Amino acid sequence: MVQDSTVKDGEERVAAVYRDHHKRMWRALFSFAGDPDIASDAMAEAFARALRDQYTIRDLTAWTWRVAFRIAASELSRRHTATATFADTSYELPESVPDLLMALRQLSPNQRVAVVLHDYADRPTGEVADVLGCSRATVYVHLSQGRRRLLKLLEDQDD
Amino acid sequence: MTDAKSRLRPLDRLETPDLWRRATTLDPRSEMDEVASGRRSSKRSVAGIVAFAVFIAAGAFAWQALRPVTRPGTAPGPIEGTILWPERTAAMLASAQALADQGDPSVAWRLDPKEVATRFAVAVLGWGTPDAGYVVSVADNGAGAATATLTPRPDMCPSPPSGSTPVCPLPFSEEVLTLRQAGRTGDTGVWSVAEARASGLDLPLAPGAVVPNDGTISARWQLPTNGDALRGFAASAGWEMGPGYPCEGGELRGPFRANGGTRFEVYSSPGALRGLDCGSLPASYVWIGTSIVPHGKTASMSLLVPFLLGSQTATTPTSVRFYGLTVVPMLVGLPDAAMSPSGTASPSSS
Repeated sequence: MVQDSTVKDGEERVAAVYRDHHKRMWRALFSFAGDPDIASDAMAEAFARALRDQYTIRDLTAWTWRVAFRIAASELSRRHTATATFADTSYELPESVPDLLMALRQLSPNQRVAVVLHDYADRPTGEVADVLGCSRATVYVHLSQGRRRLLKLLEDQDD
Repeated sequence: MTDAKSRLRPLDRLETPDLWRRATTLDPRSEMDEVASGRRSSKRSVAGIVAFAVFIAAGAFAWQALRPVTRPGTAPGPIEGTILWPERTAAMLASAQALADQGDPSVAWRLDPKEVATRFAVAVLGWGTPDAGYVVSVADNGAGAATATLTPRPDMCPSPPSGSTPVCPLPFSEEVLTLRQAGRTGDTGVWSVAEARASGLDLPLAPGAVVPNDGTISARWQLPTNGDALRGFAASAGWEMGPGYPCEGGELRGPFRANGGTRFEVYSSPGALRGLDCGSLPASYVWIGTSIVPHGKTASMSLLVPFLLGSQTATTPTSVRFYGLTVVPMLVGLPDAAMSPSGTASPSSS
């Protein structure tokens, strides 16, 4: 019984992270990958892993964000090179979002990860550095360049 | 920078799926263990060791430091940058050829140029099979080269012409595919699509052209003058560099509308690609396409096309239907690649 309640507590911890973050995480993953399927696959896989490894994870929130983005990046690479997958056009986008996604698409992958994770999802630069596998100083460079480029692209669209 | 944050707020309007049930029943994939943990793959470790050995060797022969330095990576062969689909690299083409040589029925279609053209129409153009409304004709040009012309019937046009016109008007009248046996010619050589050109979508670039970093590619759309023909009609352009993430880190500037045409630019900033081994001249492609905007949708074509040429099995039809698509393979000269002026070409000016 003690074991059962411990398992339930662990699941509840993951469920709480899911409740608090799943919407923003999915939107961030979709903004990064440009594909709803990749976003969904990566997020489901990250939370499945969190449920499996919950007792060895210190910061569940940071861990889940990091793993989801790593899986999305890997999946993006795999689909670029090996499979016959296409982005799902049946996913309906609210007005103005396509232009924003198109502008994000024109950033480099590192800039896109930095801007989406930090400026949209409010993740700290240390977590962004973990995802990118670089230093925090490099994250600031990607952020600075990405923001400048994004704003320029959106201004051009406004014109 | 709060402005960037505020410009990202519309993302909050995206509807999100509930994936909790899926997460609780999903068995995590073992092949993702390394990815999730962020451990470097053994392949990268080997690459690092090799790079270190090369560094030491370079030190021993210091006199070479005075010579032009090339970016580390695989030098492109005569195939890279000259074929589009289903493969874009010599290694991947060789794999397909090996399967064909073994008599693998899954690649038998690669030996028939008409079948290759038809599969391209299904998987990339989104036209469905020929009985859905187009005709495929193939002309064998000899020496492992052929031309396939895909001619759509009027009911496939965005604005079907009146009367008994047998085909769509410009710029929707036909799609011409250049087919090549890039590895081996003759009955046993597999065919590839080397380029695709749609009527009215002009891209002044030849397969295999080297576009230097910061180079500019100019493209033109010849759009119908009849406004009704453009209702629900979308056009876009873009480029993709390297075999996949993260070497697609270049940028597209534009498209810019000017003088009845459309211009866009290829650009890759040194900072964006620093530390990545993309080779000095990664195989890339540039495209310009026209499509119908799905009813009730506002999805941008630019978000769909990056996966356009990822197909290997060529059996999954794309969910995007192009009226026309011009797509040409090329090589991009990355920052600090040592390229002689004669080795570069800057396709431009429209």
